[in-house]
Amino acid sequence: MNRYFGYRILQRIRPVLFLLPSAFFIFGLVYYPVINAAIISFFDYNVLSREMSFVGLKNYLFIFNEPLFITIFQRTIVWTVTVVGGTTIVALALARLLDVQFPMKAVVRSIFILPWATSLALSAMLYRWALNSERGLLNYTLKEVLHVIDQNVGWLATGQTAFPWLIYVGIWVSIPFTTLVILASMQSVPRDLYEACALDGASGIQRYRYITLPSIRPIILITILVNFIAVFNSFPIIWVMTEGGPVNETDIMVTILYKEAFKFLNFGRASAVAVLIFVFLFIISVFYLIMLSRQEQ
Amino acid sequence: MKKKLLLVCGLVLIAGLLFAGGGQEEGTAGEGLGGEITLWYFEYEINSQEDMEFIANRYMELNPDVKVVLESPPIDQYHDRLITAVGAGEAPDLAMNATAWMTELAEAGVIFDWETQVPAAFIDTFVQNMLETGRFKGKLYGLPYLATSRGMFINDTIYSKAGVKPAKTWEEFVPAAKATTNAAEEYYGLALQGAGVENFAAWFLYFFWSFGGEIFDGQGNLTINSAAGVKALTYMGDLVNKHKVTQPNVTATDLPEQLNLFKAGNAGSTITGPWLIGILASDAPDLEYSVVPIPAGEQQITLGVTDSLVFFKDSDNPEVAKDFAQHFLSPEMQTRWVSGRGMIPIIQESSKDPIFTGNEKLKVFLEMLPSARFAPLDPRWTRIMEEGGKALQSVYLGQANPKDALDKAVDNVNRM
Repeated sequence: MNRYFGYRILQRIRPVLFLLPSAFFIFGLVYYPVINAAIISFFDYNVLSREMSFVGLKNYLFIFNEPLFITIFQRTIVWTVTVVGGTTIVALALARLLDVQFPMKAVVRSIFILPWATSLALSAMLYRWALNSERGLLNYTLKEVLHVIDQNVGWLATGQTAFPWLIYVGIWVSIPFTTLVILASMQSVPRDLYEACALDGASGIQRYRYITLPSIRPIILITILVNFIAVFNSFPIIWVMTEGGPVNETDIMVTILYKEAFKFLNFGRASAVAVLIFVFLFIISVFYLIMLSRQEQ
Repeated sequence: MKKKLLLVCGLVLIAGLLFAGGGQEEGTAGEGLGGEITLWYFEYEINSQEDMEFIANRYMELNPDVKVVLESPPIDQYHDRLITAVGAGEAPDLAMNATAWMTELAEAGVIFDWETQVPAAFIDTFVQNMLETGRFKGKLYGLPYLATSRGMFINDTIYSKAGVKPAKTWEEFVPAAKATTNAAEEYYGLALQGAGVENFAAWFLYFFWSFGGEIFDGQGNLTINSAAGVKALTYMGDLVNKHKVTQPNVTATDLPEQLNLFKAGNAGSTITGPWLIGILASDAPDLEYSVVPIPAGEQQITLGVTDSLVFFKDSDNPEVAKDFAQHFLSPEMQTRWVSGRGMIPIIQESSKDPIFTGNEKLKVFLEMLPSARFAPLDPRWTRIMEEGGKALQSVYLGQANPKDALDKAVDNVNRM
């Protein structure tokens, strides 16, 4: 009887036991650092001596009152919206292209995957060299080959020229993943729907608009949300190419967070920035998912 | 059978996790020195790995029970990774350090005062005025192991083609730079670094100090926005925007790019340290150049910079660490190490070695060193470099006038 009772208990808690290792890692690698950062954000924290002194809301009040942080937050929104928007539009077009049969389609698909196979830092390094004002490939091509400029352009020398290039690189590295996800979703749309539409006389554009897009809409919306979170927090591209300069003109929230933490050793303020990023993205995500589920209803 | 196999695998995995992980071996007590130490070293502009491995291997030959682990994070990540390692309790035993970084470690109380760790006779082997650069609040937190001063490199070919001589004053420099600028042929009077750490920490100081400026006043207030500071930044901004004697896109030019411009013959002059001698010898052996003192304003100055060795209190093997430090800073090892980097030694016996004193190009730097000025050891220095660098860039980009830019920098440092 006892053995049977023990077996029943084990059966009931077995799912929990299987989930425990994952829960342990998620808590340890995600929730614990977030809680830790939230606590540190209320302190002045010297990471070297590990001394902490409570300062209450001082770090948050500084951030909200400092024009530089406000400007950087606005720039982060622009960065995220343009990269995600640009990626989605290009990925939709590419997925449509890859959904049809054409010669050497496998080769073309492999080429599109390449940016995804390369690390972000390496991609950023390559573009940094390509955009070098004295020895970069772009200026050489424009000046020596095409003769459209007669003086080298400092692409990364000002915020006005550097920021668009950063957005371009952000889109370039985001396209492969988004394209593949959308393509997979497109290919799961039942083919007989297209056949039925074609029999009714619908054109290709009409089929795309009334069959394809509605079918893949949930996936598009999810990729937008995932990309939004990833791009908002994207560090390597901007850090490698410009380090947020010149004059903070390409800084976003994560680069200023990094500077506060590791250059100025201001871990309290850096933690406050991290918490604000987390709260902002959490609110955006919840609001977005609620909106999504309402629309589906 | 399957369940038993799963159980065995699970136990093996758990056992592996429990016993996994590194950790320094315990130093072996007893006769002689033993155990392991870790040294972080800089990868300088001229390759450092071979010489560092030679020094470590020589030490291990003399002390067979010791293992010296060498690590060299990339120079642009070195500071940040050192801070992270210290914060995580994973500091190395010894680390090379830009002397200016020493203050934050000293203030946190994580590094030793060397005078409490090594014999006084060893301390006496240093060039004493250079040794003092490692002193902060009266304690010797850093042992400087090499020094640089700065000089002006002149492209002799461009200068002789223009028929001008190197300027002795900043007043003479403008016409010389104009004469040695030809944008159509892509060479410019001065390769000026407008991005990166030395943007402010070196370039501004060349002009600021020569015009009589002081970084702090007697009460410790930041005074880079004094009349001398405004004069310096006005002069620098005019070089870029009014006289146009620098390369275009100054704010995209970091140290490697600045050196590349001179190497490639795109600059009539530039200001940098003696490492360029070694770089030119290997990368541009046909370039004809000379080295002259930095032009003078009200004063003749040069910037002195030292790098220091620091000793972390968390060391698991302090006896070996101290002994290795004395080995690394011995005359024989220092002659090899410092000459290989193209810099100037701080060990007295090394500084008399003909490899340094017989080098004609290095001689200018050696002669300037006794009158070199050093960046202050102040915990605010990183912030000052950041805000000062932004002030310079905003003037180069025409976004602000020098007075407003420097006032804003001082205000930001005080606020942030």
